[in-house]
Amino acid sequence: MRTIKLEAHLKRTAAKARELDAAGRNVPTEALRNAGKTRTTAKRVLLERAEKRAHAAGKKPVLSHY
Amino acid sequence: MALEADYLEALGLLGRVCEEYRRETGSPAYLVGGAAVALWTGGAFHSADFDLIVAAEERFHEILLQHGFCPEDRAGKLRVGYYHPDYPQFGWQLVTGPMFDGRADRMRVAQFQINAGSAVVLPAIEDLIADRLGQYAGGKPPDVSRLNQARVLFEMADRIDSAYLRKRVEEEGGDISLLNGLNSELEP
Repeated sequence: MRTIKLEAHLKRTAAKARELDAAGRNVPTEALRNAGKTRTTAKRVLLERAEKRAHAAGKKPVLSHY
Repeated sequence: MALEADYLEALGLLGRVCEEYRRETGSPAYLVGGAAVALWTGGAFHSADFDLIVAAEERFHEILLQHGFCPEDRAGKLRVGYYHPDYPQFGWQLVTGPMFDGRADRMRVAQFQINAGSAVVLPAIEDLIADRLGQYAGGKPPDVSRLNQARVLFEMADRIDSAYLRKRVEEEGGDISLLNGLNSELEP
């Protein structure tokens, strides 16, 4: 099993993202988000509840389509 | 693009749960789905949920509770998952069945070491790319986010086993040519 140190991985991917940005090849975040059409019912409930809990706690919810 | 502080904290907590589970049972918990894509890409996007595959669900459930996780109320007969009061914007779910229907080579999984005593195990990046391309190919209509995720995973990879990737994409019913021309350092 390959072991990767998260800190080093995040530095490497951030540098790669900057390269892609500079080359105009970055993919907008929204284009990566699951459209939600094939989610299970349990997953829809989980995501809806997480969003409601975030609002209630004054936290920024993670945008999800459900 | 980066993983936000709350996300990393929640991941660190999950990593402690996963490490305790692995020490006790001798087998890893696998972090799959959108959270695995988020981590492999260094936060190209964030997922609100963490999907896990574990062999001993009952023991994993107990460890989650010991770390402050709460089971969600059922929705009718459905088991929904878990939440943690310190990270209310996220949900955790146990996924049944073997990873990628048993087609993934478990020797290729990657352990992400978050800090001492905290680590999560992810599928190989080739398996995730193949899974996303397969979902794109099988979607009616296709969900282009699946293709975009596969392409970003490929672009962000530091190394790819091309032969394994080709085999897995074929098994998942995807089209590997959709990765052509993306990463000059890697051969799809």
